[in-house]
Amino acid sequence: MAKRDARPIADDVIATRGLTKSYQGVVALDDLNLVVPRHSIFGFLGPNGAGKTTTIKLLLGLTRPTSGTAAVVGRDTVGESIDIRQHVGYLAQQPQFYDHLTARETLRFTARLFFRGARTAIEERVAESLDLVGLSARADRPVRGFSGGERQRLGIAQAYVNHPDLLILDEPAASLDPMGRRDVLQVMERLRERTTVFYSTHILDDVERVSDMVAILAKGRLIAEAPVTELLASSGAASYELTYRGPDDGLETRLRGEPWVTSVVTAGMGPLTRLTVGVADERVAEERLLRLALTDERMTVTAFGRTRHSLEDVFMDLVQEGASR
Amino acid sequence: MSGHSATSVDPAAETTWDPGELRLVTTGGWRRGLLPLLRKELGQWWGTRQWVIQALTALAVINGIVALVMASDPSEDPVIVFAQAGMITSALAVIVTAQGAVVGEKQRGTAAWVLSKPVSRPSFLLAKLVSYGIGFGTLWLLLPWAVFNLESRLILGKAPAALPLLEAMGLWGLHLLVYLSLVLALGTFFSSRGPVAAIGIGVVLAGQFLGDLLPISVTTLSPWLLPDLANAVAHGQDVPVSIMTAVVANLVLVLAVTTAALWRFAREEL
Repeated sequence: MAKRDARPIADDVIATRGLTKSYQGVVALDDLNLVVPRHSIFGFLGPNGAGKTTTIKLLLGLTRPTSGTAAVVGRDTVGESIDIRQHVGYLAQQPQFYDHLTARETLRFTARLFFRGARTAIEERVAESLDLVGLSARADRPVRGFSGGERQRLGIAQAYVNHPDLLILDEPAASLDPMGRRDVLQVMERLRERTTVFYSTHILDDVERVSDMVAILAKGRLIAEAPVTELLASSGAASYELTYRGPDDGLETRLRGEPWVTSVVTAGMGPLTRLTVGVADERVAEERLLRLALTDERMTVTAFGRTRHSLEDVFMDLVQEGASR
Repeated sequence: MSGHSATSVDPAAETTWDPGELRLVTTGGWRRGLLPLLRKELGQWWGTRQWVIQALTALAVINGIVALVMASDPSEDPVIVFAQAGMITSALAVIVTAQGAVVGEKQRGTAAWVLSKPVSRPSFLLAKLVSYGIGFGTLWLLLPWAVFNLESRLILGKAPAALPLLEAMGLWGLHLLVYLSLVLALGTFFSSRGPVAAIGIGVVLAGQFLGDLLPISVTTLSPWLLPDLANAVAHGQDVPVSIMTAVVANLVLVLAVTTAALWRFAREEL
């Protein structure tokens, strides 16, 4: 076990206030107010060029803000940058290492930037990190021969070698094939109990699978920040899907006549028909919608339920809304 | 697992620290990360084929030219050939080799990676200055000097006067250091290798072409006069300026260029 410094880690692992960054007059990040609680897996979403990497570089002290402040693990990113990096692990979007070093040497070099102590203790930590990402068998091969997936896994290992209080991962699965993506997500889930993970991505399936909270950035502005479940639940007006077999004996017309129905969209699916019914009153809809369909005995209802919005729907809606402002 | 919670250091535990245990590096300030970075840089010099390539190139260029001249024209003074050819070619070698030391790391993203760790920016630059200084000093200064002594004995039957040549080698080392600090500093100001190499080589060549045209009071303050001074010193001749003035001026130049590099690199957006 390594000794940590005496200053406590803040409950909000990341807290920014009015964080802004401009490059030659072009605003890359605009007035970001973001709070990332401890022990969360926090997805930081946005289309390309939204300002995700800029934010990460500001948090790490690799660039300086034009205005505003940011604190990471309770320390100021401008004045206490080195102290912050002691507590943080970082994986770049396209991780780059010294090609002449092996994976083990890379981790040994990284570990020596954080720790002193017996060689055996360093080697144990290196071996543990290699094991975490399944690279033990390739540990003594030069990094120059590594595939994209292997580099990414080495990137996670080096980010974790100091057992950070905060892991910052910039697009950790972007360049990976489906197997590689699955592996990376598994590692992130494994780390959930041990650290806070803040990661940027535009792969929304991944976010839905592993994240507790998300923030969505568009054109440098934060347009949403909420727990994933809350974001999905609050998205758009309620609607229900009803799928049936048989003739449409005026069901659509009857539905349109109901005061609590706001829209009806019909889609043919071979012998089946699917109605997506937008409603103004969910309680009434749950009581009456299915009953209305079942009154016609020639119709067989094969499926009924509330429409489930995916994060992709929410993301697209929010980003388009944000872009039109 | 180490503390992902807010673990505090128990002073009693500090005094009974198990030597087999990891401890956080607590060195602060500009030296943070210097030793591991220096170890890594030296490993790049001496743990790869780089030193073999540099050694063979230095021997072929410097000692090769000297051997050819000594064999073809015995009246030519080998010390002049050695010092002149050696100082100019080693300066060019520094520029060609070190042009990507900083720029290359910025372009590849390894600088951003290393500086995302608890490492100070001065350490990043100083580790390069020290390791390249050791590498070039060994392979482009000491090795050719040792071989020059040997080839003088073999071809001319006598070794050059030791002390004057050592003094000349000191000026040669300073000459190398000026160009090394210059090329590393240029790497902090530019984001591609082209301007770094062009300006570095331009400065070396300008010394060759303009050095004689400028007043000696000006060239004394530059590295351009150092090859002539080294020649004169190696032959025990009088020199037109104070060597100490030239040495101090060039040391100040190294300091100024390095300070400018540190200032610029502290503001680098990675």
